[in-house]
Amino acid sequence: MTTLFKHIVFILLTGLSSLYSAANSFNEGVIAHSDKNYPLAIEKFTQVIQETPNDISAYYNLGLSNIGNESYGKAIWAFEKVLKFTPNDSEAAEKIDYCHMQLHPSEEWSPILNSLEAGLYSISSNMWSYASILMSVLFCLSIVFFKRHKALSIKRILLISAFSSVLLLLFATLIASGAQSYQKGVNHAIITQPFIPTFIDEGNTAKTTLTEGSRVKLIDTDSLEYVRVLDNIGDEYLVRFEDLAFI
Amino acid sequence: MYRTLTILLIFTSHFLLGQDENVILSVEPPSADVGETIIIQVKTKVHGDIEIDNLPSSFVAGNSVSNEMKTEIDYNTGAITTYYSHAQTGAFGKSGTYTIGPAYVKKGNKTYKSNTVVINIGDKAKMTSSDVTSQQLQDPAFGIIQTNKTTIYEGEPLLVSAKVYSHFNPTYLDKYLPYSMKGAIDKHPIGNPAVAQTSLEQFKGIDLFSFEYDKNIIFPVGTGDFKVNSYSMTIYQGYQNFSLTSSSADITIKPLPEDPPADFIGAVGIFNIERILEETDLKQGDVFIMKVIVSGTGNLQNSLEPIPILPKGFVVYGDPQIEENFSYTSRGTEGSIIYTYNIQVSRYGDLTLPPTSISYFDIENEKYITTSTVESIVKVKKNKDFVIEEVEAISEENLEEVDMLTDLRKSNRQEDQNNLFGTSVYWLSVGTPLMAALLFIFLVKRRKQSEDKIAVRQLARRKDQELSDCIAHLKILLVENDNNAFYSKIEATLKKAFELEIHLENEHILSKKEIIDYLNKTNRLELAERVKDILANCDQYRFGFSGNNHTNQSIYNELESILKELKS
Repeated sequence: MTTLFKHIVFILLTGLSSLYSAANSFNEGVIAHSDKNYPLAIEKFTQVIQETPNDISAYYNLGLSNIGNESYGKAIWAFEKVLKFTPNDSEAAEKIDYCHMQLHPSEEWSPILNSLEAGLYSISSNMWSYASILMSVLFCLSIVFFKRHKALSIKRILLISAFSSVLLLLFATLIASGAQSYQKGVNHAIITQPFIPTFIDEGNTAKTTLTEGSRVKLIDTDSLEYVRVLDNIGDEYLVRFEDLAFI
Repeated sequence: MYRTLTILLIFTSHFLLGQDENVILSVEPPSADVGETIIIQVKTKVHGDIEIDNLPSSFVAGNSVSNEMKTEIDYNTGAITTYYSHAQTGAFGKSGTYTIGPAYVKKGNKTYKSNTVVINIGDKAKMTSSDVTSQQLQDPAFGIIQTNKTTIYEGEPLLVSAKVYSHFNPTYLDKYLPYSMKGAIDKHPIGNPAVAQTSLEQFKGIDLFSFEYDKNIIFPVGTGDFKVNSYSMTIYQGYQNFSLTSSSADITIKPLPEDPPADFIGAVGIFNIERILEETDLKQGDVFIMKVIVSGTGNLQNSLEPIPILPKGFVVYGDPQIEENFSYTSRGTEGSIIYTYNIQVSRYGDLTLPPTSISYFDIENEKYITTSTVESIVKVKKNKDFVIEEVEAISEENLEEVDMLTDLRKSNRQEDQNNLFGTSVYWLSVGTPLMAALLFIFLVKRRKQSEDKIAVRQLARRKDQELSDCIAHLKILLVENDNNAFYSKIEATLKKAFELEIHLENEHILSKKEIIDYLNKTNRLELAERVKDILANCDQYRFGFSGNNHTNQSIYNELESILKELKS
């Protein structure tokens, strides 16, 4: 019993100290950014992200500091992370667009999700799950009352309600699944270095390089060292894991 | 309704006519010093009583009041217009900004209203006189040149006037040759040149008549020592006259301190800058109007255009429109210059316009002063249709980085909100109501089926009971020897037995044909024959020859035999 208590106290203290430290680093990052000391701001916001990986604002501010530091590839990664948490964050999307324009003025950046998906996925998977549970209950109630009522008009309404519930249940389940796989899955990566090499096969370098700010889609992650990716125009490349910043 | 409309029409007409633009109030000069004569004039097409309202308490009306009538012919149309004017002179006793008017013209029951005029009255400038020789003092009259300063800075305005002292009260002057100064091209008259008021003044202990004439504000060009050359004139008292030549005045013009700020606009005096953005919520590619207003007192008319620093993404189209709203006073040029810029915004986001600043030379403190506007935020929405390259090419030289780094966010930790879907709790929560619904449907169906079965069983039981009752009744009828009733009962019993056999669910009474058809269908032909016989016998004994006890008994036995077979 005493050991268990000690464990709980230890976990609580560790958690609290971590939160306190993260808050401190966050404030230091904000001050450094305001003083235009962007390298220090980047260091502080990175520290916050390491301690609390779910702090969306830390990613956003890290992106801004990276813009200040003219590290546009890293800024794109940070803002893509913001979009991962809140897919309909228009400010983050605008900042990515801006960074992309700095790196690739002739290319147009498009988000991973279209506007409809972004809108739907911005509501969390849990909310969609609750919605599907609610629809399930509604379906059950509609069926029960449908069987019990004699009046044809009410029976008709209850039948429509049951049918709609089933459709909405399916819809909510699909969106919940999609939102979860988008937010939890690692399917894309950003090139944050000026350029990275590509490979014909493991060990043999190809002539093509991928440039900073490019977003690639992961298609084969079987190998431990290399990953097969698709760029935005659909060309396939083999690149090293370590060269990518995953989002 | 009609009355209301009439009143409304009269009221509107009165209001519109009451604001007749042909009653014009004007003040000359537009700004003056304390004690300086001004002329307030009302000009109108309406012939009526003119009255100037709201004259400030510090305004001292002069003796000169004139009323004139003037006729003008428009040679294009031939129209003749008559103007009536009323002029009132006077002076202000205190410095400040005053509103004069409106003036009213009353004609019959109608009153016409004029505009109002704002006039700035400054403190009377202290003037320094040029030297006077003893010979001049002995003359009947002498002239001096007065200046507000003897040493000024480059660009600073200089107030110069001709002052005449005389031992007699002059009534008229003539043959005036004005004073001159090298480099004094920018020269503007101050006060009312048409009016020269004589006053009695003590000069070096002698009481003399004096008047001031040809007062000008001069903006000299260049630096160094300058001379204001003398003027000459002839003054009269009646038919007697005296010609005089004034002394000259020396002026030193100092250069401005070296290394002026980069945003120095060449202004000397006291100035301010203001900036107005007509719109701050824009779409990428929109053009908005930015007004920069430079106001103050000094050499405003000679100041340069301020250079607004615009960040990358803002492009100025063309030269600015310049609107000058200033007047010349004894302190220099007073008023404002409005620079209107048409700016296209080629970026999007919350863009910051840095302050626009100017520097001027402050004479009082003898140093450069920098003043600036406040920072402005322009919110620009993205416009996908806007082609950015065109403006980028124009603007890349001088424009700075877009300021998008200021909108830092506060810490916002998001708890994991994607952990429910796919868990057993989720599937259980979704599945339970679905399963419950399906189970409910199944149970309802089962219940219905069992209810139907019970109903059929009850019906069969009832029919079985009825059959038993029929047989018991038959036995009684057999003993009682009531043939008609007996045979009827035989037929009824047989039908009841078949109803039970066929499991009829309702109260349908079988016909003989249906019974025979049923037996034929079920392939019991022998039984069908027997039933046919018994039914035929019943009909025969009921409607033909009646049977005896023996035949009755044999039919009853046959019936029992059929019933047994049916039960088996």
